[in-house]
Amino acid sequence: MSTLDWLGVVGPYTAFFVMLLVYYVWEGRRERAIRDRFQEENA
Amino acid sequence: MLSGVPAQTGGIAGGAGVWVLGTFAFYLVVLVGIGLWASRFMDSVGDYVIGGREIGPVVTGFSERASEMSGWLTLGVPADAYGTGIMAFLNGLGMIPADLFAWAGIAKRLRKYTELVRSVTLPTFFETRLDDDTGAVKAVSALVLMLFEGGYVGAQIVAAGTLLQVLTGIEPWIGIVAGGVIVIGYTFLGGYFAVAWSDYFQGAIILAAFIVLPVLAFTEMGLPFEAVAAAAGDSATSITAGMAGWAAVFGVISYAAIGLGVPGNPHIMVRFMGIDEVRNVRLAAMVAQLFMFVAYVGAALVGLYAIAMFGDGALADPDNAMPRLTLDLLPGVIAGIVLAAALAAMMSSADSQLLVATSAVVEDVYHGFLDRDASQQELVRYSRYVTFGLGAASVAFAFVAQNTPIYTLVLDYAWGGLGAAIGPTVIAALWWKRVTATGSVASMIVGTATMVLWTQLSTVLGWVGMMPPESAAFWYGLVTVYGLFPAFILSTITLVVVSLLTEPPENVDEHFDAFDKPLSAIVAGEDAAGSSEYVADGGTTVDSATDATDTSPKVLTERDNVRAHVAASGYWTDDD
Repeated sequence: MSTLDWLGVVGPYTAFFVMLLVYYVWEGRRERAIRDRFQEENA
Repeated sequence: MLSGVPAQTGGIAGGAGVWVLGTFAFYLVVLVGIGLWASRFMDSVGDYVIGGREIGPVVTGFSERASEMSGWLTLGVPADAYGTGIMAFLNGLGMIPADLFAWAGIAKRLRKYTELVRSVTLPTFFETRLDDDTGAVKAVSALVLMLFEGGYVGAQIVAAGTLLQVLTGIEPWIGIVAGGVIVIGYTFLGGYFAVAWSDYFQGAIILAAFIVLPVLAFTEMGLPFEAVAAAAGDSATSITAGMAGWAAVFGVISYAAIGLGVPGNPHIMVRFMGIDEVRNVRLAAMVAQLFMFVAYVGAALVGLYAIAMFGDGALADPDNAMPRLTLDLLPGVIAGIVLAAALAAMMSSADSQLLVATSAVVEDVYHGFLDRDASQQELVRYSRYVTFGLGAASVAFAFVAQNTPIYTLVLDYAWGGLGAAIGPTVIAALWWKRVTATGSVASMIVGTATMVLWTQLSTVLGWVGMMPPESAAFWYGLVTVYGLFPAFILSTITLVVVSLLTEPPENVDEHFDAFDKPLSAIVAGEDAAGSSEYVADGGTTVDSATDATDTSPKVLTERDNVRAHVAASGYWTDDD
């Protein structure tokens, strides 16, 4: 298998895994921000 | 005990029959047990369809994946890898990111909004969100669901029947009938609650199967790529299967376009509606995505190891690649469990799809049009009748379509049709204030028609002598590309253009408030105002002719139940 073929196999899955991690962290922060804002508005 | 079990090298069924059948029997007993157990907790249509919104994140994540995996993943993707080589890894190229986008952009909004309007089905969600009092959106979407989900169920039963036939040597029609009885049986018993929990169980087995098989093969022969190249030629170890230029471009597009089906497939969307708490969406997404990584890589590796072990073209039916590898590598008991996982995936998909088709008939057609005052008990009873009726029809369809390849059957006539018809409306309803009911109906019709016609395009062009030759790479690639690609694009363009030419609903800003606020804030506002600002298909409705308010409960959840659920969830008050 050429380097290009290896990249074609491994590249997308690596990119998707990074995307998943970014989503997980970003979504957690977003939720916390919304919750904080809601609590402030109701304080 | 295991040492006394013969290795399964003497044929597809070989001496494993008793062990394989024993595993199946055990599996069915567990399945029926789950159904019976779940049926004790079920007393509303909401329970029947989305598990009363009490399904936790890990179970939701697993079942979201297991419900979609089906015979397509367990037999189809290994068969695809057996036929095309490493390009089969691209089956995840569109699916994995599309699923992540669905969790990120659809799951929470859909979960919040459908609870607020007491909706448990996509057609009811569309009707409420698009403020459609003509019933056109609900009717057309319910029709699309009945058509393609029914076809889906039939396809899964074909796959289950094929597997049963391969393993036991029984006649195909017996396998189809047995598959149908299993699917109808436990869907009938427990509805979504049973489905979600048994999907969890099945998902775990599938995951284990796609880990164990490649690992065992690896310990025997190392990485498969050199052996694959030696057996099937260099194209099998090319990421474009040896294609270049436009042929490669359209080949990659076809794989990527599979992901466009995610938002339009209600058996996935219904998982988003059924999760217990909105904040658990993040964890469920992580579980579902990790599941996909393992499953797609594992399934492709199974097909590649089948090439390495049996040789290219040695299997008369490529769908046998996965069961053959299983029987060759594993002792009988373990092989039986792994193959039960394959059957489980098919059952899992079929019962989810059967439930979605059932809810389209009972909720959207019967309860929505024929008898708006039907009681919960009546609706649950009718749900069971309809599940039985649609299941029987799907068995009949499976019998007729039993010789069509499962991979094609699922992608072209079920997955793709739903993706093209429903997907653009799901996304637009949650993200675009300007979308209208007329635009949605037009999009569904165009998406359905394009998907069906594009699938037949090369055949029709061949008949009239206008099929482009392979040397005309662009046109040939365009005609033979996976139909969901053009169908989704045309459906989306139709949705946008027709929506811009028609008037959007007036209260759309209020609808979108629901997406950006915690549930408890909206319910608290509702309390202060003394009445709901939302059109509640399950709560109060106003007769426009008489301006009289009908306060009788309509669908599944009383307003108090929604309040109680939000209060009990502690979503916005817990520290984490």
